[in-house]
Amino acid sequence: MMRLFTVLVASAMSLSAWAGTAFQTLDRQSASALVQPARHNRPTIVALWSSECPHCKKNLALYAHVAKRDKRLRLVTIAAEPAWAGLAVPLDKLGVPGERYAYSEDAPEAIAHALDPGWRGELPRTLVFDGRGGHVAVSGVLDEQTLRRALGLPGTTRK
Amino acid sequence: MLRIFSFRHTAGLLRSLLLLVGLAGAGAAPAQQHQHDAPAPKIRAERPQYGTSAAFAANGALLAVTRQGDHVMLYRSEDLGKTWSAPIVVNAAPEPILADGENRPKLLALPSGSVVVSWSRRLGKQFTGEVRIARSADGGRSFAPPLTVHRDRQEIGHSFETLIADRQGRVYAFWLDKRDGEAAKNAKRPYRGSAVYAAVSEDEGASFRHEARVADHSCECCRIAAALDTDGAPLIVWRHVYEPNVRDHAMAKIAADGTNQGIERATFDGWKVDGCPHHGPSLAIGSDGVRHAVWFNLKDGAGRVFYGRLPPGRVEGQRFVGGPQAAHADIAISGQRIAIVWKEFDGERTRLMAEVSTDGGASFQTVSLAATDKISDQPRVLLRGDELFAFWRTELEGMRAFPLR
Repeated sequence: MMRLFTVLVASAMSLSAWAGTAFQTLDRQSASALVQPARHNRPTIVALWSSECPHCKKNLALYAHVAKRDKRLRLVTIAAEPAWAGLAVPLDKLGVPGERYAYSEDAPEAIAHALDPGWRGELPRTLVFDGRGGHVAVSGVLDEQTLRRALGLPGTTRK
Repeated sequence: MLRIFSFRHTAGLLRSLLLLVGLAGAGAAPAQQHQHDAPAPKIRAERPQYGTSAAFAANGALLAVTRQGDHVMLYRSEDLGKTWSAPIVVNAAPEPILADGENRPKLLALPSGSVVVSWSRRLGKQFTGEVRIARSADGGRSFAPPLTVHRDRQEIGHSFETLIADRQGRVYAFWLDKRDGEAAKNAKRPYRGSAVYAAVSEDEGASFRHEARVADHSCECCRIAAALDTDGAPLIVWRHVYEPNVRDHAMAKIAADGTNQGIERATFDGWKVDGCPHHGPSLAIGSDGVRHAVWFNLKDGAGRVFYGRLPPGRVEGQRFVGGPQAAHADIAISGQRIAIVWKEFDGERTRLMAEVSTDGGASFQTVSLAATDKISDQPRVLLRGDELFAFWRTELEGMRAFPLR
């Protein structure tokens, strides 16, 4: 049975590699490092989402759109849950590019606090870095104009 | 599509396999499901779900329900959670079950000895489900096959159910229902959030006779709170979506046929968000009729847990519960004793905290009950007769009960 289990885990992992970029895991230290404003020398979106959040899809679709239009933009997604076999599906369906993170086995509260102490678990939550040391954290669905302003990017390209 | 299908198929096989592995060690309490000496696979078969509910049975035993693979399991402890029995399988036929955050199996232990267990069964499409209920007439030793509570059987959202029994033994189920939202979508009309529905059983959950829409425009992912009012009728509180996107709470008294007896606004914090707070309220009503509530809202730029009393049309004595990281509070009352429990990250660990009042809420004492280093479920306050207990499930320590004196 363990052999079958290993084969199944291996196939799930290889399929997820096919399905898109592999998830990297975040603990409280790597989460804290990821959101240091000094690390972001170009416009960056850090999008917190989860598989159980219908509103998150709207933001992910917008971020994928903006990232495709503007190559200066760095898009980072963080699933606020550990990686599991179906986690990449919403990102792949929406064509969301960029680095993908998921929670490690560290305490979820500790990872969340390291990412954004003002975040209380509501989703979607977006950390927007303008690449010049400024950043804002926004809960809920964002419109493109607000997003571009926070990123320091000009114009709106989506109706 | 073919590739996505085969991917899901693999996940399904994995799920079944993990269920077999899990059932092989079924005598262990959920905390022992994780083998810390073996390397965990990097990618789990599915989302880890710790959602657990507990209640004391009429004979004083502590009962808890949680999900294990495609089954809801009922555990029993005769020593306040120090040791747990081998679990009873509630649904003999496997089905996908949601048990995460605000959406988890629930149970009612009735004075007759019957045990009613509910859960949300996940359907094929994302964000869809149906509310299931199974009844045990022998104190939770065996369960009848589950039934689907609602008449609407579309593959849409019906979940986040809550159960309460009145003093006549009627069992009320409340849940969040997307049927009105779907109808609006099909008619190309806007619709805010979900709806709250009620069903009422007059035979301890063996069947549901009445079904009614309680309210349009509830939030989509927050639990519903229910308590019996002084007249014996249930009063429920839920997070509402006031125009255009204000996530304050609403309250309604429920008649014996499930219909509402008027809806009033319960909180006035004005949190505007197009998002999922995943953070529902809790309600306890004193024999003097005072409605004590705890809830989470963003107010003046900060997300906080609040306590307040809810007389009609206003909030009295609104104040913070815990610090800036306090979360997922629950409240219960027994005579002059009121207990609030919540969890709170202290910078290193997640703590189980409580406030206890012995004077009907005039003053509260804060106590730290426990702390954990990994995943923890939301805590709950339980009543055993007139005694109050905190119940908390953590990944490392399992399911525990703490007396609140």
